[in-house]
Amino acid sequence: MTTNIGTLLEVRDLNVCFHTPEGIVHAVNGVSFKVLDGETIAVVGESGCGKSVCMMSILGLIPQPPGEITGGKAYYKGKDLLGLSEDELAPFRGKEIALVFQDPMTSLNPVLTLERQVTEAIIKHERLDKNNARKKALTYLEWVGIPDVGRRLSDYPHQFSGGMRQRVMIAMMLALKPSLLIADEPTTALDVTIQAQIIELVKEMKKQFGMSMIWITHDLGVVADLAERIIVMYAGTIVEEAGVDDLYKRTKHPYTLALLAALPRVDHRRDVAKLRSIRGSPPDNLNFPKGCPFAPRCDYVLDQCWTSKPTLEYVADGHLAACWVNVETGKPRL
Amino acid sequence: MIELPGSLSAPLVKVDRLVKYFTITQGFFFQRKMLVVRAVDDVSFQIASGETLGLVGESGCGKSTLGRTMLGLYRATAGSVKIDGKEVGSSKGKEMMEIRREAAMIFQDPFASLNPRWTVNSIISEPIRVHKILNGKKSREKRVAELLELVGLSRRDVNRFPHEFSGGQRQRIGIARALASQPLFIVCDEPIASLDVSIQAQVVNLLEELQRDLGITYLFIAHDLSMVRHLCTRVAVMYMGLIMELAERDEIYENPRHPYTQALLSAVPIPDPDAARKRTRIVLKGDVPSLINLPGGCRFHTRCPIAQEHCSLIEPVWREIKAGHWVYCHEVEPKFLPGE
Repeated sequence: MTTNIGTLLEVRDLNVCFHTPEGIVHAVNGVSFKVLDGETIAVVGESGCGKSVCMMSILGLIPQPPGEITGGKAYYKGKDLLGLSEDELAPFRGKEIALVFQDPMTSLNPVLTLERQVTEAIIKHERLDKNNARKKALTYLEWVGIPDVGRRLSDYPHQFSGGMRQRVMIAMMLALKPSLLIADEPTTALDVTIQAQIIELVKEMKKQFGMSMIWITHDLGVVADLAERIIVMYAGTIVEEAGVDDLYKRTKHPYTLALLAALPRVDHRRDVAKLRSIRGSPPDNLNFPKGCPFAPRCDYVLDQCWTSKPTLEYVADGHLAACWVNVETGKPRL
Repeated sequence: MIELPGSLSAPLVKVDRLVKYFTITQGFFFQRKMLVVRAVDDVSFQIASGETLGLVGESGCGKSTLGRTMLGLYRATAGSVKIDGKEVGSSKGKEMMEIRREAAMIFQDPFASLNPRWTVNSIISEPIRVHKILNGKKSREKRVAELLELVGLSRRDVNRFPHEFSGGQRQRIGIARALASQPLFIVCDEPIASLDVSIQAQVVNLLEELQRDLGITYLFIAHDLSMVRHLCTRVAVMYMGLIMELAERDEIYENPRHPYTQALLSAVPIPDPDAARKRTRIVLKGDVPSLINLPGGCRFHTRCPIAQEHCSLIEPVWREIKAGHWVYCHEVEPKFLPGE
């Protein structure tokens, strides 16, 4: 055992790259984080920042090749998942760590009925017979709020709306009572009213079942009242990590500051002449700049940012940031 | 004729009782049925010259269909749209060309809306050529270079192909193409929905600069209510083919009267833990009903938190409850039930 008591998952110095015809894409570069028992963390970042790749590699879901995990450990309940074979990983997937994806249409099998989809995993992991698995499936489908479940068990995924499909995914996952739920942009494809329904459902689920959760998103708004701790990723590295209040109110990294400033508020009158945009575009994963990957877009950039890459360090109690600059003074950190 | 919403001295765009139905067939031979999808179902409003009207609503509510019908990309089933005094539906030939020049569109998906086999130069110069704004290749090329610089790209980009650009850059090409015909009015159909947060702000700022410098009028179709609050002068909220509420920006966000608007606003995420914890979410039950079998009476009654018995029987009227603030609901004060 190398992990502390109460730590469910600990990822250490994870490195993942992809071999492409254009060259090696460094998707995840030295990511370390922990998830405690019963804790909800959010991983926030723009497309291509490595947030999904990071979680997928923990469960061995990165196709290798072209992907390659070039280093790191992922201890789940003290066991390193990265060292396991496909067969050894199987009991962890679904039963211990469940995944809910962004697009519930492509993650449900279009030619299987609702009953087959949901009972398949129950039969496999719990070794129940068909009838009992069906009963269990019904309980959870009802719990997530699928109306008139009994009659709809023989329906196919296309007969359900996006929000309903996402509920089905959650029911499938709940039936196995995993200790960790990884939700990869689960509400991005949904309308705001349906998103609100799903978020309320997930909150209720946490209250009743108490599992840990990693919520991957690009939207700093969605997780503000959902997560306890937030990790911000940029160019395959963690740039800031803090408790939810610290992250929004005492932001330490220029990238997080810029992201927050770029979001207009629905509850505020317009008070700026112009939205603060982040100049340029996210870095090309094939050729990272030598120093800090955010330097070309950063408002606080110093000379040293161009030559050496800052490491993730404590800048306040429980607050990590990877930046040479103290954003409150604009001067270098000592 | 009833007075249309909008306190507008000089309306550039007038939409009057616009209806767009689609017919679809279902089933084979003997069970073959014709079904009607009521995508836009009697909508009226105006857009003043130089303003930005936000059009928001959930997916499938008909907001894109409304935008496209307004530009004549779909033939309206009934009603009329006038852009700068010209009737979109009945115009032909020269007059239609004039409307097409004056009204442009920016599409949601910057990947699908640019021809992958055309260079940036061909894409942007097409409207200039078609509308005979500039004759002569040289002068057109010069104009394309100017447009590229206007939207924040480089004149060196003219011979590149769309796939060489990022999503945000492609959206800029789409904007340059829309500007090429020197339009008065642009329908922006979710122009930022597919972009990263850091890029969205760039594109919104660009749209605003262009409006300020060129005096363009926008219909901004979006589902991001925070961005709409930032960008738009007035906002229309659409649900199942009908506008539920329309008012000035701060009026509708601070004093939403329709229960649907209230629910929609309460569901928007706020990037601030304190504010997010404090507010109460009005969670609507269920999904949007089918546009084929519309619920009777008020079409929102199946999900409405304040629905009364008469709401399922009697359709509300589109009425102005105070200057410039229009709603479609019986229950909003002062209550009004038609036929009483």
